[in-house]
Amino acid sequence: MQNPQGRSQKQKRERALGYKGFSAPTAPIMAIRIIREQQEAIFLGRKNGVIDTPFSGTTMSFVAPQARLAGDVAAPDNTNHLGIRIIREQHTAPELVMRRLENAGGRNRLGEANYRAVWGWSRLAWVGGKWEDRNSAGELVRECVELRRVPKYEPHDRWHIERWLPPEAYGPPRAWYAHTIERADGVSVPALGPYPERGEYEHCFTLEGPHAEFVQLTPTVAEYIARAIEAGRRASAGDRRRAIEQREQRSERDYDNWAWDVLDSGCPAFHGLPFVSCL
Amino acid sequence: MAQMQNTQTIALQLEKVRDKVPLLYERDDVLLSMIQQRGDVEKVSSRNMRIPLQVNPGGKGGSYNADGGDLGRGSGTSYDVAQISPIYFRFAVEISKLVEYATNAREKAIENAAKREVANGMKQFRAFLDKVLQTAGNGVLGTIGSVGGTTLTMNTPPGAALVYVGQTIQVYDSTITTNRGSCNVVAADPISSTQTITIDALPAGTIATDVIVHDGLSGAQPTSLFGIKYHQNNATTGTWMNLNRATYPQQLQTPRVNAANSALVPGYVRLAINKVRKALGIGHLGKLIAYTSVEQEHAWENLGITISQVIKENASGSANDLDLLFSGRKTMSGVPIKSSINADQTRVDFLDLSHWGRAVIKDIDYFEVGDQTVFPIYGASGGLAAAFIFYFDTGFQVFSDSPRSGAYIDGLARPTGY
Repeated sequence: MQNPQGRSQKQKRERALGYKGFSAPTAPIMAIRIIREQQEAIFLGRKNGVIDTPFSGTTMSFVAPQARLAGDVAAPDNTNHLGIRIIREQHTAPELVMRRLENAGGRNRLGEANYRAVWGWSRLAWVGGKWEDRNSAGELVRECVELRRVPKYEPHDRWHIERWLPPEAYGPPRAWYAHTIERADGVSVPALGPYPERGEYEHCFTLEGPHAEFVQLTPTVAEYIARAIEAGRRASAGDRRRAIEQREQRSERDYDNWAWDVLDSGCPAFHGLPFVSCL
Repeated sequence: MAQMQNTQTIALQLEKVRDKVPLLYERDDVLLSMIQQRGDVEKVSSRNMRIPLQVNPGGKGGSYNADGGDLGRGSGTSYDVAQISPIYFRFAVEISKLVEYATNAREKAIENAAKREVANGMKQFRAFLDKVLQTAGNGVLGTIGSVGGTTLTMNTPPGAALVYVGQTIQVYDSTITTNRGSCNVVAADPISSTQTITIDALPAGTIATDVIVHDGLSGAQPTSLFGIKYHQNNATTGTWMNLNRATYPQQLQTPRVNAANSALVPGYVRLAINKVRKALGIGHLGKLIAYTSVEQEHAWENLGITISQVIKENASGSANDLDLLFSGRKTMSGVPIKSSINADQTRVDFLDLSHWGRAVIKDIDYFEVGDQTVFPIYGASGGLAAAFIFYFDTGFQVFSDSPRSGAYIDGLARPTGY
């Protein structure tokens, strides 16, 4: 049935949901994924004892056309073709990468690989305490004391290499809670979540270029990093100390050489020595 | 026509490299130069520089009765003004005639002597200011643990790390009220575990618990450069840039993790980083650096979750930067590490340097009287001494406009061997 503006009920529904413009098979997939994300959020929220979602948003959010027209949402244009904003982009490392990491670093006592590659947005960790939520202008919107599952590393849009650390690296549970319990507004929450009784993967390396540009995760790069870390683990503490001291000495020398170069740069050619003519 | 004096020749040689002086000073390899002069406050007058701070948000949120209920009144953002004034620093360099005579060609000797002293002096001046930047704004470079003749054993931190041989220092009592006098450092050992400094003459009344401060400070509770421990502080009493900390106990506190003399572990780092994230929001860690000592960098390496420096160094002692199209930089849970031999050996400071700045009243340059930059030295008799003197000087202060944008871990144990 057509309304006076010539739009069908289906078109109106699509427009309201914001997925108009996507091909027929794509829209249901998105809807399913969003529902799954929402279920995950609700599950985690219940587990935490909080009603609201434990993290700030779902993987994708539909942007209401009215909001876009009102200028509430930053968008390159005001068309309604792409009413989707990516909030959390998730990836998992390819199987080949994981296998090469396992070859390089071996397995831990639980039979899991010592090394793994994770995507920044996909790696979540518990963070508890008093949160200050701010709007895009940096103004305080609300404060709340709760445990949230949030991306563990930044930048979120990079691959990170992690290494497993055993539970004893975190001390006994009693010490863990003694160190991490935060009290705010009469509520106590463990700032790093529950004690990692199966150990925990910790950050080793972020894959990015010299100017923080994206670098793709490849099996060779991942294996190289794992092997470099493992080689360093085999060095003695004394060797590691000497290497750091050597670096500091080299830094001193670099400054001296650089300073001399800078001061000499104003000199005439050959430091003012006369040219010799060869006939 | 008067004969040209040697001082004039030196001055000409110094003048040749004058434009290079700021370049040598501002090289971005020590924390001091990483804190940029801020465009909006680059030049300040001798009056206090004012930094407006948003201390409390405005607006009243709440529900209301739409059926004729009263919506209530609103409120606005609260601001206060932090204030700083510049501190002046000088670095005096003397060139003796012997330096000039040390090489055979006269012109080259003068030129080389001048250049060498500019290069050495600037390096040392930067090192001195970087050391002062590690302090709590009172110029305290160390605390005396015990006194044995002219040898002072220093408490760690910072041990003997913040002094250098030849430096003039002053001894104050532990409350920084009584100035016991000054002396010169003749030896310093910041490497071994004993952390001693030897001075030429012990000021009368010096005892353990006294503190040493840099030259030029005077009076009770002197003010020096506002260093890391001044801005990265969780105190709720005292003043911070002329604001009373008690008035804004939360707003002016930098989040702290107390390691209580235990070794550095990933949990402490995550706790500290998470405190910043909770205050500023997820996704705002991009500009943080983990500023720490080489000892704590070593402690982090000992955990075996980073590419050790030993892998990056090759046999010739030059760096091998892992030619893999990525930077290979070392991080602490993803935050880039900047280590320094001057940093507190028991701390890791997470700094967002975009909130730090330098208010400068006098850029680094030679101290000048008229057009003269080199001055003669006079001997005890009143006659000329066989030496000349020139000075570098600068006037500035370091500020932070958001003390909550950082965090720190303190009370860390030093790794075995230090």
